Amino acid sequence: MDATTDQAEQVVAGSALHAGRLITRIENGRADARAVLRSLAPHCGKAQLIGVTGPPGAGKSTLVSALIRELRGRGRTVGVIAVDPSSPFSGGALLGDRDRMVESSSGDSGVFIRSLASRGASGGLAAAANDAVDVLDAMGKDVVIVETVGVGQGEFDIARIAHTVVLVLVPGYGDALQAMKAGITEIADVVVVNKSDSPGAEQTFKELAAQGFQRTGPDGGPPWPVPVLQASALRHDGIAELVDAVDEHHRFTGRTAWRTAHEHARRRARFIAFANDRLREELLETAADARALTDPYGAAEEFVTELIEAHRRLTAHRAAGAETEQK
Amino acid sequence: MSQERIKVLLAKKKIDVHGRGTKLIARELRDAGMEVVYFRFGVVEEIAEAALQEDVDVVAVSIMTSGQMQVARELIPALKERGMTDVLVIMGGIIPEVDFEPLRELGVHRCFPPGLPGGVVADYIRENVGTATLA
Repeated sequence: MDATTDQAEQVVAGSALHAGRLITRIENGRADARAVLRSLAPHCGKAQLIGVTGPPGAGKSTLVSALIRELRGRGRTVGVIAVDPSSPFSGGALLGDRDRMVESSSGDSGVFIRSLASRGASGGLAAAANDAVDVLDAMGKDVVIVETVGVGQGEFDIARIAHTVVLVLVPGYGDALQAMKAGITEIADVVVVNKSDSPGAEQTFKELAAQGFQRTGPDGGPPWPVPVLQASALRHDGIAELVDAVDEHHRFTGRTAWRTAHEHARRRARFIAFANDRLREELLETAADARALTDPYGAAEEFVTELIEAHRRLTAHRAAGAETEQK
Repeated sequence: MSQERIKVLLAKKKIDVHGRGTKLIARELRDAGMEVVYFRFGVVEEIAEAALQEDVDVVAVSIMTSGQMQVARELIPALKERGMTDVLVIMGGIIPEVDFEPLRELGVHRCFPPGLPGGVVADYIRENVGTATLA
């Protein structure tokens, strides 16, 4: 048995050691991770994917901790990918999400938590998170939660990996207009006002609930009325209702064209990420080194035109070959 | 994204409120370009479990309220049991220097006394990461 198949089988068998190491390889963009991911693909697609996003300090990690407890109580195994930002100055990162989550999962082999630093790579993070989710999915986790700060395009791309996106807001964040301004309500499938025990929670909740947020389906089918809930993650209030709402959304999208469109989008993202990686590493770097680059725009234009032309000819040649064979 | 980063699990006891030193080290390592998982543990098994899932290169334990010998006695076997045999294990905080050698014998690669100038821990990690083994 070769190393790739062996690693894949270890992950599928639930080895935390192999899963942990594979995720590191994914983060580092090492090429052999792609081969293992390919072997894992047949074991993916069973997990329910939940995204948890919201502004810093909204209580996302504490809420995830409460979700873990609730889901474990219902007999479901849980994987978590928690993303925290890397420092744009040193490249280092302080990953603090795990600290708040572990209370609910200590010594429980049904829970796997992994922190990822954003590393500031453009677009690369969402691809890495997407693959890391696959690893936990292949490990056999029933639910995989992706937690990320809900600010900026890259973070949106991560949240989009999930079947259901839970937006965590808190009292004092501002009125409903602030929420809409930030654009974050457009990504939410379920809105939860956390810290419901603190002053102003009721008003924030009422304001958001009165907005009647809706998400329109990809096929123009029935829209999803976004439920607005109240919870106190710290006191474990409203968490059962939150899990029920997430499950309801999951069933809803499963019945409609939402899910198919979502799966297709993830496949598409994988194709683009894989192709992009290899093109950059095996083609672009060398091509750039081999050129004088006095006119980088022109050189890039010429290079891409050549590539497209070569691909066109290859496709035509293959088509001709297939025709001759048929005759 | 083909950039490898040193990843450190920085663990301290949950019931221990002396967090300034740990946070200082956390910041120092972050500023040295490392990825630091800040983590408060209840039982030692949790450190090993976290190290495994996070696939860290370094396990750093802050000890401010004694118990270093017991932590080391449980931690090193727990890491080995999980196949984490190439992880660098360090300790710091308020540890009597007479314990440094016994701790080293238990498998802790290095103990740091308090009051060191900034950068010492980061430099040590950079020089020794990847070469350590838990024999």
